Amino acid sequence: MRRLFLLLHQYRVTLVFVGLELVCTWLIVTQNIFLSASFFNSSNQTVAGILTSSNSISNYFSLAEVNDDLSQQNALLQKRLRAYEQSLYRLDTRLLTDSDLIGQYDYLSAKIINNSTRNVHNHITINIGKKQGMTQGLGVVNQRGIVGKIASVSDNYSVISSLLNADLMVSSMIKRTGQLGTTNWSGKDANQANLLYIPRHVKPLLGDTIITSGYNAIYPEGVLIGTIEDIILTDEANFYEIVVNLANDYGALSHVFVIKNNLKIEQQSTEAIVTGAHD
Amino acid sequence: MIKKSEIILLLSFFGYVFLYIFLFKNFVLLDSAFCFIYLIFLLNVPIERNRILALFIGLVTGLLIDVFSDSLGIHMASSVLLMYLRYYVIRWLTPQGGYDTNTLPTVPSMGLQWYITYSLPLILAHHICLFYTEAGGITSFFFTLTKVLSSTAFTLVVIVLFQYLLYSSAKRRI
Repeated sequence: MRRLFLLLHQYRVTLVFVGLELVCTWLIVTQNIFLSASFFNSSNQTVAGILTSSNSISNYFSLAEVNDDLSQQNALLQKRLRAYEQSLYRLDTRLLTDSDLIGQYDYLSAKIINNSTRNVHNHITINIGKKQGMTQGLGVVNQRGIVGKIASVSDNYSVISSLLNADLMVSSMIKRTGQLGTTNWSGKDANQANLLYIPRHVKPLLGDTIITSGYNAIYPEGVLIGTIEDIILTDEANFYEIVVNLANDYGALSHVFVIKNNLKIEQQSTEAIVTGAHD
Repeated sequence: MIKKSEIILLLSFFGYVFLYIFLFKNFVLLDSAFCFIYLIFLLNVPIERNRILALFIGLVTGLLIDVFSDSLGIHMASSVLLMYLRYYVIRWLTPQGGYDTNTLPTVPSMGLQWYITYSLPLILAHHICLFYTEAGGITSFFFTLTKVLSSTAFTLVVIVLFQYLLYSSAKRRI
């Protein structure tokens, strides 16, 4: 027994080292669970407060670009509003009269206080949280297209898993053919992602637009993801390898919209009943 | 009684960690060379006997960096590894007659050649651990290797430059 204690004493540093590394490994492996705990990430009040004050300085350098973006967005919205007012006759009258569908999506505006694009798992911190009605799993977009999905919320801040996060899968669709696929970032180039699970029989073309499918109740249908840049089909593969040029410039984000789907619970519970019946 | 050297250590901890978080985190050359300036703090912790304390210094530094960059565990694991290996590298590089008491492992007190031999393997080990953990394995081996090698070069150069900037020979401790 004494010799055992002596042995333990002799290797105590290595034992502490192995113990600490095991703790770290456990934190990395269970990161998604801990991310939702929101204490050990940048949605923590103190951390986010520090990031906000740092951001308020660096903001001034991008004011001109933000202004340009906002005025472009305004022009687009004006144009859409005019077109909408002039459409006297619409086939889809349910969209115009059903108040549940008109108010299906709430858009909450948020400001980015921290952003990264060069890691394999990139995150964005924004300045609204639980108190402003945020919950985990909401979709985030901006005027140019998709941004990401809420990973963690604290009282006044939230952390987004940006589309540039190798773990994030987005249900997407080729706009021209309506074929469903999944968009996933490869972890390398911040301007390109992969479109997965497009079967052989479909004929995608270079330049085809990729949009969200709206099937997973996170994003509405038709949020822009990007355009097809490259298509590879090897002889034995079941699916295409498609490279998508992303529409958004993730390095230059400043303001985003969080989308709240008010019918999400209804959609998911209805789907759960059906899948439950099959089991 | 808190010693002066401990206050300097604490100040340099916050100094380098926040320098990294606010400034150097955004400096990425060619989308692959990162500069982990906070390693200068870990490398310059005085040579002392308490190795377990050194491991915990690495742990706390890594935790603070992780919390700000939403990568819980990754910087922690790498920094603890660096602090563990540091002891062996220092022992391997012991000059004849051993180290003087309270020696800081810096360029002014140990010389440039010693410092590069000391920091290069440690920075490399830290970066290998960091980037391969972040990539989640060796699936994109060569892409990650590019990141490791270019970041090691970048970090080393900046750290050595900082030594000349902040640890002047006037402050040399003998």
